[in-house]
Amino acid sequence: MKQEVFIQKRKESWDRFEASLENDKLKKNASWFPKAFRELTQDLNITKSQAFNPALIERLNRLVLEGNQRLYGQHNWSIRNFLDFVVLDFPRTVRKRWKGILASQLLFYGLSTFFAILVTQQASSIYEIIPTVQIEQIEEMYNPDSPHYLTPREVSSDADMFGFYIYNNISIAFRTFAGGILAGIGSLLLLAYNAVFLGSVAGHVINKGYTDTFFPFIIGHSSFELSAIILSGYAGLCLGFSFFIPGNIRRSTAVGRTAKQIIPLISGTALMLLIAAAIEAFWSSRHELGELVRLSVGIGLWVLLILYILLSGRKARHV
Amino acid sequence: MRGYSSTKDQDSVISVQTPEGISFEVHPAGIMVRLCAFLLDGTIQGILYLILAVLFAMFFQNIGTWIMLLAFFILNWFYHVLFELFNNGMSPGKMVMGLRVLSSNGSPVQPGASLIRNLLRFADSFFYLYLIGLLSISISSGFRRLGDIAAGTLVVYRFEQFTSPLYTAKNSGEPRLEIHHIHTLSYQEKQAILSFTHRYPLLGPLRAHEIAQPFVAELDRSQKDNAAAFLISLAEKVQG
Repeated sequence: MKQEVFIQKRKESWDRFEASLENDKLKKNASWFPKAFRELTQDLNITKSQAFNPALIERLNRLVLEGNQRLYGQHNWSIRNFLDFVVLDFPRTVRKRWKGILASQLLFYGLSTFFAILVTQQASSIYEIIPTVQIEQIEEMYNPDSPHYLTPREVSSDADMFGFYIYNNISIAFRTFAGGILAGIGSLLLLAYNAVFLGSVAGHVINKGYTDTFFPFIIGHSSFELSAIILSGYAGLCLGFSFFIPGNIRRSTAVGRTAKQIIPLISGTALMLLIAAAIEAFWSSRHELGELVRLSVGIGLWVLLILYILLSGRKARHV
Repeated sequence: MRGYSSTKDQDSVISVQTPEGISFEVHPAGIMVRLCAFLLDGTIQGILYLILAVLFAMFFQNIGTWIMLLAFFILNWFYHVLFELFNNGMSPGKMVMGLRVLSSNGSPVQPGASLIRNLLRFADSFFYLYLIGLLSISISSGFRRLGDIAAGTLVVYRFEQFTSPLYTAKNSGEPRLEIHHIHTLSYQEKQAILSFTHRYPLLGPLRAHEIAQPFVAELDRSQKDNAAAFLISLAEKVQG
């Protein structure tokens, strides 16, 4: 087919295609667009095989690229997908990788317990771990006699704390995750830092006798928050491991595969931290409810979380 | 043998297959363009932070700082993700530089991949020096940083940035020459002439003449002195 004849025949379709891409009136063209796209791909084939004008090939190439994006780029956000994620994907992924996750948890809690015991036995060691200024801030936070006992930080309202916790904690989790691809070092460092900090503070609080303010405060959100941080660290470690020890496949393939598998983990982490922020901001500082109520609710949340991870999504969903 | 021969061996061009069974080409974008796009995006993010801070300073009595913190959080981590998912893979900086994000098989970028790619930006920017990102872009095929490798994405040029031969013929400042003699050109030669006119605006008259001269000397000795003009007029004729 001669080039001029070909262009004459097809020009109108191409111009219309290009116009519909730019004006984004896809809804109006919904039935015509896929057919036009298929014809366009055949046109590209013809121009390439017949070695027509390179400028024409370039134009068709660009139209195919853009058309491909529009046709296959429709995202499918629905409540159903979200519920599927929460009930099925996330717990199943956690269970599938339980060995690694358990190892990360042992690492974290082992470190924090060690440092908690260390600080309770050797009270002065806390000053070598955490800066004195920060220790004084913590003491002020949990000292029952402190005048600012009900408002742990300068910001006063609960909603503001909610925003702060989201900004702070989820950023920490994301960084813990991202650091993992660097041979796992970033994740390990951040996990270790958090574990040491938590353990030392717990030990110091026990030394000072502030247990009645500290433990009821943290018990509520600790289940979600600690588990989420550990999960994000684990996800980062997975990435780093697949990058440096890819086995017998290409490095990029190994990382790509692992990344696909752990996307549910990191999304779940963000959700858990959202819940933890809500609990921490709106519930944990309600001292007026008394310690027993807060402790029992906190322990209840721990139990619920463990049951959720163990049991949710075990039965195959029958459509 | 006639056929379309691409410049696959010299350029960094990646061929992707579509479900329709054909393949088209994408041109991954290198360090400097991506750096420009990134700096632009950073500037826009900074401006948005400022705007948000000012807005909330004015209205914080009614709204409360928690919305501002939430907005900062989303701006920090999800700026790129939201644009990539809802604006055809283009953040504002990339739009200006003519780039977009694609997945490696040519299909649009998926939500999970976009999330991974942007979370790992923190790893690429380790200690704010971006050395790791630069190293990764330099070593990988397709100019991928760590986030791109993990997410299986590419940053490609949206369209060829070069000008059309007709535009060049009108605006090059070279004299228009009448082509009387009919030249039979092979496909590669046609492609070369068109590429020359594409690149003419970037070359400058002296360099263009230097490049054109040997070629024109073979085609038509009489036009040796007006080599660049000759090629441009020829290209205009070829493009029809």
